[in-house]
Amino acid sequence: MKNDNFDKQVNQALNDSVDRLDSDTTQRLFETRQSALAELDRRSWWQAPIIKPVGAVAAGLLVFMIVSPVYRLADNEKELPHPADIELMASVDNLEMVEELEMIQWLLEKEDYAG
Amino acid sequence: MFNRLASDLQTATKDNILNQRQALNQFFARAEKRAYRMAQIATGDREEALDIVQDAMMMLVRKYSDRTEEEWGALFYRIVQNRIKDWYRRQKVRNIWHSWFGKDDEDDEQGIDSLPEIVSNNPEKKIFQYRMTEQLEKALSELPLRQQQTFLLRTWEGLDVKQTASAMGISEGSVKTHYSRAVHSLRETLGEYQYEE
Repeated sequence: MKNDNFDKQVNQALNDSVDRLDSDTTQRLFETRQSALAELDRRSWWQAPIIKPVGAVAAGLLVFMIVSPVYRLADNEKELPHPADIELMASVDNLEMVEELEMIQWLLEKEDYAG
Repeated sequence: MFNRLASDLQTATKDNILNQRQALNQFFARAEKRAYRMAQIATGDREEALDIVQDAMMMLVRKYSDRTEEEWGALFYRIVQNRIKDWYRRQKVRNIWHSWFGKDDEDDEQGIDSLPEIVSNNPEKKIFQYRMTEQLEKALSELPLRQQQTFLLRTWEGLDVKQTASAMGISEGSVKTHYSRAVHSLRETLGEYQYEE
């Protein structure tokens, strides 16, 4: 059998076998198809393909709404001074240093006006 | 406003399901008979073949109906292939069981009564075609499962090497090997069956 003829005849033979399927088998296949399609109808609306992207966006928004205040709080925490800094600032020596700095600044300003 | 949005969404969903139903109906109508024949050639059993097609349709609807129509073909045949493989595994166990208890299967004798009524302008050709189909089916059923299914997917379904590999869950190299062996074997068996027009 020649190559192209072989493929053609095999296809023809198989197609014929499909065409010759008995009516009972054809009917059974039709019923099978209908029950599979009924399964599609039974799927509730929230399982429909369009719901997936909408649901994904809604879920993303929800996550954002939950997570963003947490991040904001975390940012606020960053602005608070470290306990060690508070301790340093609270010590008497450092308060004196701040007072001295104010004194130096006052003197500098005074010099500027004088001269 | 929310009610209107929900109503619009519901309408869009209904339209979507209707379109999807129509597309699936057309796809199944095209594929069901061929899938049935493939399963029947593989199993040699009408009821098993119908069960395989039913399982494949259900699974495609349940798991992959939201995929694109272009993807359905390869996915559907992949499910059919997996079901056929499952059937073979079960059959293997059953055969071992039978061999222990020595139960032989009865041969189905197909006589002239099983020939369908042939009505055609060219009865000679039709009879040849019927015999050819019979011989082809016999030759195909004698091939190893992978060769048989590779040949059917490539030659009959027209899947390319990549699609066949995906449907069968094997490498492209294996597809080429199985296909080439199947063609060689079938040519040898069916060599005498050719109709000169």
